[in-house]
Amino acid sequence: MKGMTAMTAAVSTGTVTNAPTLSDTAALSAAAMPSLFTLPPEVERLRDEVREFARTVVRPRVLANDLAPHDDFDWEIVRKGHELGLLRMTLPEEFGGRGVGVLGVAVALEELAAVCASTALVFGASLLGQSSVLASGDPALQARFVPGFLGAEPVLACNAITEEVAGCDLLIPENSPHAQEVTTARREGDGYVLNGVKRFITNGAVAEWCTVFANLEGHPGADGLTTFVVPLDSEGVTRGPVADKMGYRACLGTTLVFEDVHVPAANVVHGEGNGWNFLTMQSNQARTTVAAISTGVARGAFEIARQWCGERVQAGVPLYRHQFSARKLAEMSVKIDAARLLYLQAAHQADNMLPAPTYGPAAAKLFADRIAIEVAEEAMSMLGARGYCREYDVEKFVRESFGARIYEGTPEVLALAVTGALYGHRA
Amino acid sequence: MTVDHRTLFGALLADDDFTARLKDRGLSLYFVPPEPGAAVFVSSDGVAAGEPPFPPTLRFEMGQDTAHEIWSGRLPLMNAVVERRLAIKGPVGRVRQLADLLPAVCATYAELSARPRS
Ligand SMILES: Cc1cc2nc3c(=O)[nH]c(=O)nc-3n(C[C@H](O)[C@H](O)[C@H](O)COP(=O)(O)OP(=O)(O)OC[C@H]3O[C@@H](n4cnc5c(N)ncnc54)[C@H](O)[C@@H]3O)c2cc1C
Repeated sequence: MKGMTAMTAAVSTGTVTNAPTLSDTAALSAAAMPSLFTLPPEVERLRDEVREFARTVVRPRVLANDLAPHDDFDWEIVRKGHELGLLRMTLPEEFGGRGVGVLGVAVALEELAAVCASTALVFGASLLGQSSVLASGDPALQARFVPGFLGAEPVLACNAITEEVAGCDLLIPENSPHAQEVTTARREGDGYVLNGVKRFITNGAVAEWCTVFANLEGHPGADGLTTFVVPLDSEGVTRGPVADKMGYRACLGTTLVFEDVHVPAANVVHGEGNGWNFLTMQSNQARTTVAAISTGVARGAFEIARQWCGERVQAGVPLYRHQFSARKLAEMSVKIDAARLLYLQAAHQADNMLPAPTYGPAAAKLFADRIAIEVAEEAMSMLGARGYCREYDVEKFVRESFGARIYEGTPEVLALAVTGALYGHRA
Repeated sequence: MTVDHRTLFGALLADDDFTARLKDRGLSLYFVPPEPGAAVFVSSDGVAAGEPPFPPTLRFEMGQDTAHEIWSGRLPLMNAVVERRLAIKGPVGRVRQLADLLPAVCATYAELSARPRS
């Protein structure tokens, strides 16, 4: 780390620093300023705990996890996160969960993503997998699949939509008639037999069970889509290769193969043919939390740039004193604030409307995904050559900023959702 | 035969146990069908037609046919939400508090709908 002062070294390693971090200053100014969005005390507590977890547990492992082989998985982070309750954030308190809702999850994921978006997604994808069981309102299903998250050892879930032949065809209503050759479910005996291949499934390599969307045989397209909860140790399930991704390397995106997998009828969520409707409802909640991940990515990159520009001297003054840099820093900061306000609003809506609305979450994610890329790219350029080197962390934020632009809705998917809502095609 | 919300919850509130459970949880429910003027507000204080006297905990927007299927026990509440036949507004976390009230609502609904109309 030649040429770095103690302060910039601290930015990179997160170990030694006397300067206040952005989080400290932001927290101070937020405390001093009136806000429309006062977080409930339990969410504030969760945010502070997750911020500390991200600083002390996640940050020291970020670089090693990023450089590790693409199929390595850091169970230690998951274990410590589980101790904190990150895998039971949305479980009701009466079940032993933290019961925080979409707002709490979003705020927690921003904190994690400001340090490591992959780690945020490990927890986020598990919560997404759980959401089918929680939203089922089916006490029997909940009794079978919820207690696993309350034990001493961490259990992960995952959510499988994407296939080789269908990505956006399983997300955009107008595309859905073309989702023909996707995973099928054949009625047989007391249940169903699943056949198909899912791709890029976060946690697929390490999860205990999976929410799987499959078409009832003979009912292609959206009409036949049905939601199943499938234990991944079921006979006929094979965990395929892990994708070698450019970012999000600490979470594993895996192919899942289902070959004549028997699933009992009791594992169907919301009945036959309700999969598309549930998927829409699930996406509207999840987009809010992914918007928070993108906000965190932008913030993480910005924190590095802000600190760097405060101490890197060129032409006799710190970079932030150069008007071009000042303008950039101000724009970056404002973009992050705006992204946060949009996701807080969407989270408030999602916590107070069933089903969650389409517009707010889609708009929040559309904006946050875009500004994450802009802010991360700008932050990297502000560090000059150092920004291009792994040890300074910022290039990882650039790589990860492109990830959230793909999952839970590409910009095109989100734009169609937003305009669909504007023109009254979608609620 | 369908039973309207006023009759249904009027009968339920005659049961002290049901009323106590609403009161303990501070739950008030506002049922808003698409037909204008047919909304019904329910709290431990009673059942009232029209505008709610105070903001309800949960607002249910659904047609009479959907309500009939739910209270008849044929349509799970969350399926009605997923199928977009029911929209609930209010703290989503509190919807769960309805779970153990549902059996009583369904039982009373079955009893009332089986009664011959006078
Ligand atoms: C980090 C990461 C994690 C992921 N985790 C999961 C997971 O846990 N579970 C899961 O199921 N999937 C997951 N995915 C997969 C992801 O959801 C899909 O990649 C995504 O839905 C896009 O599908 P696709 O890659 O097949 O692209 P395609 O659907 O082939 O789309 C390619 C391009 O065409 C555009 N396009 C498609 N249709 C239209 C249209 N009608 N109008 C305009 N443009 C259109 C898209 O916007 C996109 O830019 C993950 C992906 C990543 C990168």
